[in-house]
Amino acid sequence: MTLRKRYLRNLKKHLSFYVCTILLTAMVVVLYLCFAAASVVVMQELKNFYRDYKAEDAQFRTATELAEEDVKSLEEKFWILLERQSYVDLEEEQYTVRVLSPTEKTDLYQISGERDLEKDGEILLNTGFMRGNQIREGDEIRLGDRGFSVAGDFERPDYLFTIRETTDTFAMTKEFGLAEVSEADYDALEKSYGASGEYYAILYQGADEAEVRKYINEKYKMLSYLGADANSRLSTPEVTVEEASKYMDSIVVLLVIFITLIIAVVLGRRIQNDRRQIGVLIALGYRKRELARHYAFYGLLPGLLGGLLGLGFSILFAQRLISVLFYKFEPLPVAYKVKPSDGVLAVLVPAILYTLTVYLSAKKVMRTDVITMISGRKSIKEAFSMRMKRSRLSVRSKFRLRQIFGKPGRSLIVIIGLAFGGMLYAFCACCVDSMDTYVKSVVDQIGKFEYEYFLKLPRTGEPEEGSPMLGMVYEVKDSDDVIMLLGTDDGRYISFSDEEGNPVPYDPEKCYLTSMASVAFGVKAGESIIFFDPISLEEHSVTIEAVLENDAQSAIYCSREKAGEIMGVPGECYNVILSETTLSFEKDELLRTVSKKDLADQINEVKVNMENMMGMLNIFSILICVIVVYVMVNVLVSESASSVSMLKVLGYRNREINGMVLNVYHFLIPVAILLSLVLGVEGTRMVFTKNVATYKTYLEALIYPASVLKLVLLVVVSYGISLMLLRGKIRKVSMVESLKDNRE
Amino acid sequence: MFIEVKGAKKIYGKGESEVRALDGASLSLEEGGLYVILGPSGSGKSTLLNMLGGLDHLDGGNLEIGGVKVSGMSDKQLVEYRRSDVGFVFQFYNLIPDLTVRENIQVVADITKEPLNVDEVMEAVDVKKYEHHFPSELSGGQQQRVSIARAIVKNPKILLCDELTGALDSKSAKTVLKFVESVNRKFHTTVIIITHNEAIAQMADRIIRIKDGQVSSNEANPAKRAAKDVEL
Repeated sequence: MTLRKRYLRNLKKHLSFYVCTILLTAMVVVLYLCFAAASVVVMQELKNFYRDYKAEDAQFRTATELAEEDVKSLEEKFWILLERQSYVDLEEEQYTVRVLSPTEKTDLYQISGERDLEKDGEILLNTGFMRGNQIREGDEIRLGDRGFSVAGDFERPDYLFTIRETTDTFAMTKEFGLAEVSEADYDALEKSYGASGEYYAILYQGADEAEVRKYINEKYKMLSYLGADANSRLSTPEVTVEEASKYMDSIVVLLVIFITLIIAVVLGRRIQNDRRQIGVLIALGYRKRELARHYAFYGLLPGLLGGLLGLGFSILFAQRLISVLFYKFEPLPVAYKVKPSDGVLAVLVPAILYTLTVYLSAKKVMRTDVITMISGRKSIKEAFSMRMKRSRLSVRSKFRLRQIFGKPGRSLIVIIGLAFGGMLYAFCACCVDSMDTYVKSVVDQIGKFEYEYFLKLPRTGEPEEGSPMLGMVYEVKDSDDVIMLLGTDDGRYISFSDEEGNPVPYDPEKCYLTSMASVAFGVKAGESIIFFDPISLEEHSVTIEAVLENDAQSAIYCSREKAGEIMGVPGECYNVILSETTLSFEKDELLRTVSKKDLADQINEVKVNMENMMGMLNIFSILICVIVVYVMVNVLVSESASSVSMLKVLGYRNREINGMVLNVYHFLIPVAILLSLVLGVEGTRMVFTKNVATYKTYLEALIYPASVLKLVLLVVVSYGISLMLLRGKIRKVSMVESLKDNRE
Repeated sequence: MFIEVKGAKKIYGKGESEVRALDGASLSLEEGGLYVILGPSGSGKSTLLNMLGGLDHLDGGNLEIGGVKVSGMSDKQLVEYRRSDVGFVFQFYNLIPDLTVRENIQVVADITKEPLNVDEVMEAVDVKKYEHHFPSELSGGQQQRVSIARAIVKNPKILLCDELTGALDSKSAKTVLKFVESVNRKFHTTVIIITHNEAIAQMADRIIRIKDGQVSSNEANPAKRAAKDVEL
């Protein structure tokens, strides 16, 4: 059909619009494929990795060592996999390397490099450590009194998050590494240096977990039990991917809606402006259906090209982008490739949405009678608006007012464009600022102590310094999370205030729940919480008197006597000491020490995660803001071309024309910024509500004045750049050509 | 001579698609006259009008108006020239749709140093009664009268009319022509009408014919008629 020749001509004529639309579409597709869809795939691959490489379900220590026969008999009795694991920490000058015992049944390693260990004297190191220290295959590394030849690198499911202690929050890839060596080498190392730690790793394989745990505890007396969900080395990667997935899902959905809306509005207006040609074509005998199909292609083109561009970019860079998002782990053992179904979806959805939009716009235009269309006149209703008969305003002011209020559709798209451009930035800023506020307030909620000492064995009486507490970790019924039961008599380092900040009188007969636990387990004041001893699996239930404001720890506070009752130890015992100053202990007396700074760092890590994720989005938000604003302001110039042309003919200077046509929208900027703020903050609130389970708290959405200022700058600068670019376009508006076409 | 065009050239396109819209056109006209330029489609009459009005640049030749060299003016100088010296009337009126009748005239008066009185101008072309109407509420003839009013409110030295009756019925066309004639008489404005309608030439002081980008004839009209007597 000859009519099709218009496609290329239209593309050339409105090249900047199509380029912008294609770029916007491509960006959404990249966000979808490289983050939202990728997160789902990465999660699945991660689960597969855990499954294929036998990630442990739990690890435990026992008072009585399990002999090989015991292990075998347990495996046969319950159809489980059980394996003793140990490690030797070798401390060198610049780093510590943890040599892991070779495993056969659980926590198997995957080779990331070319080859596996082939002989004694060879060593595999974890990828992050090798990169951090610039170690290459074939290098020699000295550990203790032995030298090893580096055979390559590896990943292990139980050490994707390579923290030294499970309570650590940062993986110091340069300072802490993991190693696999041959069995003979490991035995020699263990013999020379002794095992730094050992435990049994268990894989239930469908066996009744409770029954197995109970049996092992009764027969071998469990000293500790750490389920995979409570083991941050195993759970953090999954939680992080899940969090990213939730955020990206929400953002991509928002983006798709808004960008489709914007492109729909712009394309719709383009069709509206083409109504005279549509009228002529109908008069020439074209069917409305044929024309609607013809115009639909104008939507199909940017949708399809944008989708394909985004798909191409994603295929090339998805792996790199997704690894930026999960930077704090070992390189995930996932070769992420765009799934064909996701790729098809990413290309088809924008194409279909835009095509449909334009098709419907064309159909709508064609509802007008042909004569009106050919005349190019607008509806009488629009023409009658804003007559301002008695107004004493100048002609220019009236012109400006009519530009804004007489054409609500056009003004609306300017507001939508600016507001949307800013919204994504506001959303990112709001997420980071809210998290920052949360982190700051939560650090204060931790309590007034500076150090928290966990003793290996309970003591009786009172410590010389500090506040004694009796504490133990419990598993909560119907939940994967654990809770700390803490018995305190003086409560001097604990903040007893409710969520409104009102003081809560401490009653030693009652139990109190922190707000974090309240949200995590859905337990309110007056309700009961049921929890289990992780070793004996004995069930306990307490009624909560009040919820204390504390979003830092998941804990139940009660008197030491009550805690002792639950734990089965005398009430005068304590195994935790809170102190404002450092206390000295013998090395073997302490299980671990947690400083307030450690806790603050841990909480701060949530913010760092958020900043990392939002930092990535911010790049997109700025680009999108500039492009959207440009597209919208471009529409204004295109639609005002005839007026611009006429004003030029009448002798108006470019500056004066800008003042009448372009600059009239300046005062819509504050409205748009306000709207983008509201949308950004509300969007954040929505996402936070969805993520209550992840953060175990209701985060309050707020934005700092500095961020608002940055938002204002971003929108104003984008608008300014767009105007600057479009002023050139105004200068180029031909007086001769547009006069020929103007028949209002 | 008030208008002096010498060897004017304007070429559009390149190579095989080159079109010589003006190919050495020369023309001399006195101030205050009413001139009609005739020519078939594509002869170059609209291009000549665009050059006279300072809408475009010549590729060659000279154009002087009132002793001022218009060819060779920069874009900024052309703006000033259009602002003070030229009034345009177009075939399709080209009124600004967002402005009422009064405002369409006022918008020009606003940028003119010594504009005529807007009310008087509206009355002169009989559109005062529509002053608060938008262009889309007027007929073609009414819009064209507003267009004339807009053009003359700045009291231009030249009034350029491009096929000003082309979109009108004969009755409206005659009314419009009468107004143009009255402007010429009343304000002593030099009026140049380009058209392919031979009948309009009856009211001209001189009739200029253009063919293939050149002025083929420039003759006085001994049988000049008043606009009311023109047979359209």
